[in-house]
Amino acid sequence: MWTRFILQPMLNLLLWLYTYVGDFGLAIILFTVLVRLLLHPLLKQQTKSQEAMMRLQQDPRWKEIQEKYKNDRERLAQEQMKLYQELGVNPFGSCLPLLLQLPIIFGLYQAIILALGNTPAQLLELVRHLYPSLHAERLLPIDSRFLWMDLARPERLTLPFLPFGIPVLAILVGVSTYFQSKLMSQAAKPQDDAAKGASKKAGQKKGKKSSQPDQMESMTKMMNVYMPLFLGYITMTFPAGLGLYFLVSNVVTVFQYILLGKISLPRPAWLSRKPS
Amino acid sequence: MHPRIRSLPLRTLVSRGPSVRGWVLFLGLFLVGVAAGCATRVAPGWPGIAQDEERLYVSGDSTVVALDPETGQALWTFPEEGKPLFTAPARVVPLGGGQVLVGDQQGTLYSLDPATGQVRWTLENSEHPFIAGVTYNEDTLFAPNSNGTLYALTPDGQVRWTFTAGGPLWADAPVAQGRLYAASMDHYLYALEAATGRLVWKQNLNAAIGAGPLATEDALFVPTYGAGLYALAPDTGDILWQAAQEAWLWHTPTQGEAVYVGTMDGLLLALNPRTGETLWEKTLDGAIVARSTWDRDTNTLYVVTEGGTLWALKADSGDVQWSKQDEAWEKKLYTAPALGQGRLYLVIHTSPPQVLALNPETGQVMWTYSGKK
Repeated sequence: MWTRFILQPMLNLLLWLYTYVGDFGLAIILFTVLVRLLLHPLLKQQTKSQEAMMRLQQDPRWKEIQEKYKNDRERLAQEQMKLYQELGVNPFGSCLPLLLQLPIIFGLYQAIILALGNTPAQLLELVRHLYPSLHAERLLPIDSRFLWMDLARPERLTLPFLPFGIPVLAILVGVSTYFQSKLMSQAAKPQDDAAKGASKKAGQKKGKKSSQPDQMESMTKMMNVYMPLFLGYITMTFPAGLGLYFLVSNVVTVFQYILLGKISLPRPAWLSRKPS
Repeated sequence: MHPRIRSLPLRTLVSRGPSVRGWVLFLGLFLVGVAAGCATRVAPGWPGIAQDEERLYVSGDSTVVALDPETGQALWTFPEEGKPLFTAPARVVPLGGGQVLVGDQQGTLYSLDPATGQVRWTLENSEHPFIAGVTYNEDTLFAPNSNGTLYALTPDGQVRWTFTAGGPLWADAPVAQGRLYAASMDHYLYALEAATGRLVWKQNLNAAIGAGPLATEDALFVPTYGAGLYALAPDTGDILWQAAQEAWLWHTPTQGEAVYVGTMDGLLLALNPRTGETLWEKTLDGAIVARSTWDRDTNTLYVVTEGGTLWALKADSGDVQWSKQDEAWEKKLYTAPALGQGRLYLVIHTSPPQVLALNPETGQVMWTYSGKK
């Protein structure tokens, strides 16, 4: 099932792109852009769900149940679920695009391993997964080099004056993931601030120091630090092709958010100037 | 771990903010997926077998083991510690007082003492796997590497000369009449002077070549991925004939009274070496990936298939003499059976590889080496 519906279509699409562009790195970039475009409607849905969630957290009933069941987490969760249903908010709606990426990442990981196999045993496995229309014999040998990288191996940039290789791609993935998460957080900030302000007021009334939005913010901050480190580590240890997917995916996601109007780019000064 | 996340039950976590919830689920499922992906990775190499008068040498997975051919008892294993993955078949060569040569996935070529398994020397010039077995002439070892470089070495591992092809070298490089033939994934067969590495000619076969050519006095028989078998003139590289066009051939052809080659479709072909005409053909129960073994004395051909069957066929007709099938061998037979000292050795692609010694006339098992300590 996995092989037929996920792995094989992805592998064949990737290699089909490769036959056209003749460069495996470019094929991965095109593939990533295609995937992001396919997931765009889900991303739209995700941003809508995020906004709905933010609105819900400013709802008086939400704050009321927070206060009422603050010492009974089980009951609090039940009541929250009830409120989700009542207001028609899907608590998983904002996670869906993220989770839908997982099969793509696993599929891509397996497709890269298969496509760039560098032994006969791995090639035999690849040939079994190719559609006959792709003419596998014309693809060989698949060149796994892209810029300074070998996409089939973990990436390191070696410089003549350094005794070790620099994991440039891992650094780029880490940095781009961090900035992407930052931009996403900022995109949701106005609502966040409102929720935080309202909740702080409620907390002050009851003499409480911490509230749920505070916890949420701190966890978001924590994830914004851990995820770049995690993806950077994955890029360092897995084939560079996967890291290239992460990097391109991050960049394309930022552009998608700009297109959705969730991030506004600073307007150049010459555009803002009024004609005299 | 962050103190706040540690104390949160999943249900509560789900009710928290969208970004946190998503990332945590993403992270957890990612780890599960990576673990599953790693578990399904294909083993990078197939086992190899070599023999001299005293021992059998079996390489595969992360060990090389020397066995007593009489009993199947392990005499030594290499390495005792560490985990190199051997992607090239072990070869035993008489140069330098006798040595066992085997290459690994990290691009290291090991020379081992046949009696003890101790390392004599290593070559670490490449980070790319050694796939091909080492060949030799009177004074030189030839080790093709998947980085596209063929290393000509002295018996003690010093580089004599190198030759770089336009693509990876996966195939053994046979030597005949002072020439060395290097088959590359870049579609070319290169003929070199064995003494100097000078290029004599090269021929484009329009398909990648992953297995070594069979070199005879009259012709070179070159298997390809997707373009069948070519016969070339050894002097000039001119194409004499092409057979089994479009077939994927994974092994060096076998020379007997005919030239034998098996395809991925399970078709075994006996070809006239002069014309390429099919003398007989037989469809077996799965892809034929490993080279067949010919017994000159009995004119028997031993063939293994992915269907998990060892076939003993009459080499002049393809008629079955006997066959031995085991479900446990399905997709596990990728090594050419070896004949020696009245036994037929079958290597099973397990981790570590298993070895069976059989009676070549009946297929009866004489001993089994399971590889387990």
